Amino acid sequence: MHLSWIDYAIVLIYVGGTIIAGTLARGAIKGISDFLVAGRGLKTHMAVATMVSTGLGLVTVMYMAEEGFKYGFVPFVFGVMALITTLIIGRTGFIVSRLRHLQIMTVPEFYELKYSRGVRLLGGIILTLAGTLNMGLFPILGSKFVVGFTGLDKEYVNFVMVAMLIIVVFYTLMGGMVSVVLTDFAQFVLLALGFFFGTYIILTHPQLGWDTMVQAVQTHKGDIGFDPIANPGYGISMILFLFCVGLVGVVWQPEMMRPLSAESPKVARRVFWISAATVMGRAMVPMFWGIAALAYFGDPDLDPHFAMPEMLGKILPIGIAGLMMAGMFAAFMSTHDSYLLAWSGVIVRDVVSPIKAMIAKSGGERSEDGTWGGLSSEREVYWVRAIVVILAAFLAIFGALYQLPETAFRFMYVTGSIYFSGCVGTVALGLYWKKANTPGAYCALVLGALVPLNFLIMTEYQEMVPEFLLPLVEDSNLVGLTSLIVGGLSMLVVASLTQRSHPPRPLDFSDME
Amino acid sequence: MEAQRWKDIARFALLFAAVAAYVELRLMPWKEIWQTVFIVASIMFYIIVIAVGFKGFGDVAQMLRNMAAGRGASESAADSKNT
Repeated sequence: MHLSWIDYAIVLIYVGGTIIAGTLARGAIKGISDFLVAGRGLKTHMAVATMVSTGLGLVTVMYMAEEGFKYGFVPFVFGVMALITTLIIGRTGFIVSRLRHLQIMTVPEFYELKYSRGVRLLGGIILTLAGTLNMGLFPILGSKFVVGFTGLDKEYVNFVMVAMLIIVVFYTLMGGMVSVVLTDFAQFVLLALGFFFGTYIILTHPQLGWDTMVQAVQTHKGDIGFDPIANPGYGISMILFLFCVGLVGVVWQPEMMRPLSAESPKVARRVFWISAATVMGRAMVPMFWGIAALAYFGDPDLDPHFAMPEMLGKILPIGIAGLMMAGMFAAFMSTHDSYLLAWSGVIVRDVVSPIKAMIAKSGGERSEDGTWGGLSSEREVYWVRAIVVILAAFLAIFGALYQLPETAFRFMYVTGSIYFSGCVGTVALGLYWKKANTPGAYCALVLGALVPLNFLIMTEYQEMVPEFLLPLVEDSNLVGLTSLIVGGLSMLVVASLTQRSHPPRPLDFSDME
Repeated sequence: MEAQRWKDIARFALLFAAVAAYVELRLMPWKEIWQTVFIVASIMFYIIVIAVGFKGFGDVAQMLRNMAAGRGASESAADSKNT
């Protein structure tokens, strides 16, 4: 074991605090809008803190570190692309301002406003599939960090995962988005301290330091450990994909919940503008730690999921290690609670509730409490809570059984693309192209999702894939980029051909802030 | 307003193209580029963390007070907009 009792005490104080906050937050929940978007009352700074925290979960730290360990300094390009895209969104309000103006709680809700209830149902199902698959590795990676960092035996990985999930589920059930916001703020502060001390100690450690790390990457990776264009794992296709997905990625429900919870479209845009300054650091610091693990152990064949936390556990002094552990635990919790809440919200509001409304043959009008004629506000809260528990159980089983096709980072991006690809056509074009219509939306959702789904299935049966399709199995960058293009083109072509039979529904943004 | 936004997008695209060209021309070795970028990224990150940490603390305290008083999140949000 690498940690002392002082370190464990710091972690316990944090966990105890979040459980108390979660219990307190229960009183603030009076309906589905309180539960899912905290009553749409988030002010700029709190919204920034909670958005940064959700984007910087323990799983992000793990897969960013894995990229650094495997590819050297090349993944830093991800941070640069994230900065560019977030600045564009912050400056222009691209997608964010318009969706917030429409006062929706989930992204598929936009499909019902712009297209039809059927598109919302299909969008909800695809988002649920992509979201839960994408989240499948979160708990196991978080647990690997804790086991590696504390020096516990690796056979305890699954037990640690279940224990951490139980804590998250408890306080998410209690206070919904209100709990999430409070724990996110604590994580924001704790993790920033952890980032600072962790990086400082790596830079000043006698076995590490910047020059030693550069030398280690040169020795183990050569020049392709520095040049993103020459590196076969990255290259222009990956850079382009990162740019496109950075712009469209804003519609990822857990990410979008912050702007949708903001006071106004103006605040939603400002949140992106301010948080843009953090995106490079959020990506690069964990990558830097991954490179440090490579330099520290000097063995590129080690499992990077254990190497980085083991290194941190060994080099951090007592107290700082506890702070780091609490920060990482907070990072685990804040991402899980947000994602569990986001996906449960989508399942209930965009799958279960529309089906009930269809059976009841109720009209497609939104009522004052934000419901659409399916479940009542109270029943929606009840079902969201039930689905949170079911999802957590699914995640525990999936994390324990699933084997990664490439790196965790690639898995996240490919599963995310199942949904993003459809969003190019349905959300981006739906908001900015007047001719976007229902048949185009169906095609964009289905065709866009097929490419990444095909990748996930075919990688399991690679020997049966015909030779001409092999690039779509071997290169996840190409898969991501192709799916985005297919999603956008489907809407453009199909909507253009069906304008007369399916006239598009207009949306009014004239009074938007 | 809309035209201004597209102008901003074009400006960012130009900036990106300039950075890409700069990198492609290898005016600076990659090792030095990444070191500079890492330092800039870290400074930006911590400045925002400190600023948001201080300003957001008041919002969190207010939220906790509202919760302790048993007020719903929507009610608190409405009050805050009115004041």
